[in-house]
Amino acid sequence: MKFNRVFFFALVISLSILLTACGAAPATNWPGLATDGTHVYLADGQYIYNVLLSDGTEVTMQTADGPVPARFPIKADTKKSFFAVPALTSDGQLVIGSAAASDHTLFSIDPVSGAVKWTFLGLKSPWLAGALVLDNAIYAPAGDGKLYAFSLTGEKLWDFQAADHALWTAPVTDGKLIYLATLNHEVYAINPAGNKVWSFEFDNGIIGAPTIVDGTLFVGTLSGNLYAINAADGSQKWVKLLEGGIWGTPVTDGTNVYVGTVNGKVGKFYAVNASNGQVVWSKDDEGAIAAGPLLTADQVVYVTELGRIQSLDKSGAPKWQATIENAKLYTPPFLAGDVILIAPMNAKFLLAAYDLNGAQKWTFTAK
Amino acid sequence: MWDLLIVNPFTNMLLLIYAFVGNFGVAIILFTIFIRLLTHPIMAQQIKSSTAMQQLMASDEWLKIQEKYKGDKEKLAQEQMRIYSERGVSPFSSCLPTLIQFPILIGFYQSIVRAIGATPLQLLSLVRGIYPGLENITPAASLSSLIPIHSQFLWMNLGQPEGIKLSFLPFAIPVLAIIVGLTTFVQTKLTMQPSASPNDQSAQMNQMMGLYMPVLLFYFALNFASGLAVYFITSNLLGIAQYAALGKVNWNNLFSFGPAKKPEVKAKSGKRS
Repeated sequence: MKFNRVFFFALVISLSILLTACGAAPATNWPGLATDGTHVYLADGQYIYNVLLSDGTEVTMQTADGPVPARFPIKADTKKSFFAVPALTSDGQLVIGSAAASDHTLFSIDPVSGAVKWTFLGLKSPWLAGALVLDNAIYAPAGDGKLYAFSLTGEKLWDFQAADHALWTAPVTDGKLIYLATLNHEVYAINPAGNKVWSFEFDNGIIGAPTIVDGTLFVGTLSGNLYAINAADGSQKWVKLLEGGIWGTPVTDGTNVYVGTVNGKVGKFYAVNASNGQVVWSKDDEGAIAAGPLLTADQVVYVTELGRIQSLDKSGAPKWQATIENAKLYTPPFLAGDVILIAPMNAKFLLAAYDLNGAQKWTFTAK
Repeated sequence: MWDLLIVNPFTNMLLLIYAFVGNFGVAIILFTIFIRLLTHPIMAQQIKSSTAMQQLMASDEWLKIQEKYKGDKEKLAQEQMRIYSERGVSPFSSCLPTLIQFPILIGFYQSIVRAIGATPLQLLSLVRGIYPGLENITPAASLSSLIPIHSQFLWMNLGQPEGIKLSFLPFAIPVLAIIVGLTTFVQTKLTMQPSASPNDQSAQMNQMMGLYMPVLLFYFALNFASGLAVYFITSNLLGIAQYAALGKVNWNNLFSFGPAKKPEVKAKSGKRS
């Protein structure tokens, strides 16, 4: 009897561990990054970290128990998780929704103190996409397929049903309209009053946010089609099929559009003529390129799933590269001042800063 | 290897069914039926072995050696092994099929979670695991047709734990988890095999299973993706149906709370059947 009881409990515990280890309870995704020019806000699981851009140290604040890291939340809460790109408002709010299975709150936080300014509780699904701040409104894509508009005080202004699937892509704007891509194969142009101006149906789902430059919207789909769409009326300018699926946001300098692809475990990086969609040059890569690249004045930087950071000049010639051991890189490289920020997954640290020549300046590890 | 042999085939099968029916909840139910049919021979063997064990333990020969060697565990074990050998019964043959089902359960759970692709990272993993030939079976199984996978079924999101929120309650009512607990309890009670002696180990084990399994599966359904709860409920109902089809449902047990009742038919004793 004793053996049976022990055996039974061992079985139960084994099954529990195996099921839990399957990773379903907490949703996982790549980290989100934002900066106000002095601090870096890193949404990476249970916390939103507040890190000094100058040296990578975590900001602390005084409490009755002494100094504590200025994170949100201050104490770990397994019911909350954060992966979206934090949205920063002009009046000093940080807006982000919880991506956890059990807490679907949209928070407005004072990034200095971590105090909650307001919340929106009316959702039953996670927030995975970052919000857009335009003028005095916050536009937050939600897990219920709606785009919500809030005032800066948290009052809900309107909602727009864009999809019957969760929205994963941050909206973008040209200052006049809001452009929202969905996994339901569509991009919507919505005016600030919440009305649809136009929509365009694509051949597949869209994960990376569109890029808008000079009245043209560049959108990549999971089928590998790169589209140029007229932002004013939603008409198609051109489409180019690339090898592999496009998972990240394309970037453009007005001359070329730069984008990476995922083709199984490998990837390919492209420069495509922005005016006609012809491939200018391409580079095979041994790692999948899921994140959108970073464009600076003289280089384009992309990251791969194999933990490599690759810098090319605009003709496609390599400039420098760096590798983070054992890391997987899905978060787009992020330019903050004169450093490039990298938020790896599976690495020994949560954040690293590189100068524009590829030298590592600092790393941040949560204590 | 685990992904290659278990999770990927399960995920692709689930996606293929989804491509045909267009509803992920229905796909889970149909896939559970498929898995149940696939494992039916194992289950039938388990029931057969379990019945043989029950008959053996009710036999005069077995009861006699229990009495005769109750003070000598070593000798008792030797005699038990001799009887097992003579009758061609393995003491593990009734629990082995159950153990075989655990990897299927875990693999199935992982495939549900993977197929739902609840985040971009999980979708990346899903897309890589889709067999290239899947769209040749039906165009609805192509990546562009499959994406996005709609995980809404009835009132629930199959990728999230389920709970119905009522305005006057501060918490959500876990309807599906309650149904999982109830159906597991009913299934365990109905399929509990009667024992010759309420003190024997298998009877006590059965009692424990009857108590703990509903609680355990209720806990899983409460905390994990509700797609798993849909699987549990379907699986429980099909399990009862399978036992009923084999004539092994013990209806008398449903409202009795002690050990399963002693079989009315006297067990054969002595010789191997």
